[in-house]
Amino acid sequence: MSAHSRPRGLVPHLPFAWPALMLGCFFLVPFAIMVVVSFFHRPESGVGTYEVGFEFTHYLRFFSPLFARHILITIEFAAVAALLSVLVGFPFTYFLSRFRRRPQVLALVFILCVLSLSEVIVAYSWSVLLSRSAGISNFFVWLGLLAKPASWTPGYGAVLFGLTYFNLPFAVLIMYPQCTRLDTEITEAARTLGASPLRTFFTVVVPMLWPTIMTAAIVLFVFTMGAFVTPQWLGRPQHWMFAILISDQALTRGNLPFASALSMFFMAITLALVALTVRLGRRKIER
Amino acid sequence: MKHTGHGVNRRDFLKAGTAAVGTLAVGTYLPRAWAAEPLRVSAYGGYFEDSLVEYVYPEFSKASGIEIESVSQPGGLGWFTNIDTAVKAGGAPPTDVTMTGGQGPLKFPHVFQSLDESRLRHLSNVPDNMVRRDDSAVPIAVPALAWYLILVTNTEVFPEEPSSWRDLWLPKFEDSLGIPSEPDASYALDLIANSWFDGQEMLSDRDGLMTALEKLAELKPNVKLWYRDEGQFQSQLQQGETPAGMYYHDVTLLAIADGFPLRSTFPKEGGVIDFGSWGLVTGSTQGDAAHVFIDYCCQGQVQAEISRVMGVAPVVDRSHMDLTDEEFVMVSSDIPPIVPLYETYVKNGDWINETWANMLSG
Repeated sequence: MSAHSRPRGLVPHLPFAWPALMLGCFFLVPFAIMVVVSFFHRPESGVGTYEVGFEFTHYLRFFSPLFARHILITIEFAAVAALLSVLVGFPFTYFLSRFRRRPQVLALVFILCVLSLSEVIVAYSWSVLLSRSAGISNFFVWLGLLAKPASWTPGYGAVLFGLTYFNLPFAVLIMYPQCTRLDTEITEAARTLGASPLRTFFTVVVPMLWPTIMTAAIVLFVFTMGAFVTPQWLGRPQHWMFAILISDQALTRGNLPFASALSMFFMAITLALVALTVRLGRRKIER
Repeated sequence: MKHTGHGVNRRDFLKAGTAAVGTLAVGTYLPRAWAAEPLRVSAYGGYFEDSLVEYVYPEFSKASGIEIESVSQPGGLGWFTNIDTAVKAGGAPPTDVTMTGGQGPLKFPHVFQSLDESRLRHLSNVPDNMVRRDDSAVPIAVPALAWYLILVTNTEVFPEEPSSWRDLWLPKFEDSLGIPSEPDASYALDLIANSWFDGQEMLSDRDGLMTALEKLAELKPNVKLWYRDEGQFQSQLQQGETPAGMYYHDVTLLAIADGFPLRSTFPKEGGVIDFGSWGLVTGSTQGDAAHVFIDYCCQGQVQAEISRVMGVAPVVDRSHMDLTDEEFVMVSSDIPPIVPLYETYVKNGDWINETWANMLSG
């Protein structure tokens, strides 16, 4: 929108008042409370939750191998799961967008159905599918690929599988609109000039849709950082992601100051990583 | 409600006396005109709350004339943080009577009102070490129902029944146990102190706690699932995926009744008992009705009925109840239970949590 067409005065801005009020009441105010509580005192006697105060005790607790380990595994899971979802999701979405309308709609409806499953159901289903007693390893035994059924959960691979599966429909839905908008004449031109389909995909389609791919990867990364049920159900204690630690402190232990401080720290890390990714992504596009 | 008295000998009749008097006593509450407002009672949402609403509250209302409004309460200490915040801000508490585990009244004493012992005529039915009292020995939380953590095994995978908690450390259980992930919620340290050491006294200081935590860490090669959610272990147990571990006696029996090849063992050192107590919440104006309700739940007959319909362990001595041997074995055991040392978990909870988290994920 150009500058001179912007609405002026109070009245045209009134429609924004409602969302602004909601955002203020239900996001900014609770957030401010969280910031304040993160500096409160936690009584050593264990009696009570917190006392009003101002100290950095809870922030200083981060400097321990425990939290470093868990933040690293959280970043690792979020990054790898986002990457895998985009790696699988992008070719799928692109080729889907080249299909005729009807199969496209059917596939999208199917994906939306998967989306309606909650994280709990997805994690539980994978815990059964990866189990020794009822899992897919029995199928591999039947095929003769495995000597005896194996138990693949809980473990690193199981968590990654669950997270990627859960992310996939989101990846498709984020990338789908841009994929459909890519003019077919461009790829046809590449083919006419002698490029193979594979070469066209990597040298024309991927660079043109790079911003979309990056957007999907960033959104999925942030989204996965907060995963809770999947690592709890499919992982061993060393795979528990940061959200589990925060929930432990807030709900099980009633340690609100520490839970708030953990959340602040977690948010800062996530924002920093997103900023870094966006900057790197931009540099690549400029090149 | 089932009747006592038929087909009993003189001894049983005398034993049932206390319960019978209790039932009569309820009648004397009736003439009182109760306020139009119902008594709000909160219990852990799900099976507990549903069963209480279905079986216990209606009988109580019939006997006392007091209506109950049920409130769902989440597990964990966060609930008391909410009440605490509401009360501190001068607001009304979200419930009048709350259910609490052992740590609630110790950690949040100001959330609980003192109870008037003279109005709790059946309190003597309950073992005194289960009643939570404040510094001046006034009761603030009275037990209502209990559950046991026992040793569970899949009979197909482990045909031989274990007999001691120490068996869990045997190599034959390698990568096959389900153990709760939080030692200050599962009370695994209490069973370690009783089965490997000289008793729970060692848990009162950090050196002793550390020794017990190290013993627990020795279990790591045998543990497949450090569960944070009991439902998670239940499904793995039933599938045979994680064929043994520490679990709840009542849920195990329900699974056995559904045909799953499981067995519940009270080890010779005893099962770990944990119990839910009723407490009157600060700021509640329903103190009179709350006393009637809390006292009602201490009656032997009511306890027997709660055990029969909910499958939980009673909190009164067996002599006060008319449970048959079969009914008693379904919910409890004659082996004295291990009662968790709640005080130590309130005092050292944060330390145990962080030390253990380090040992577990390291």
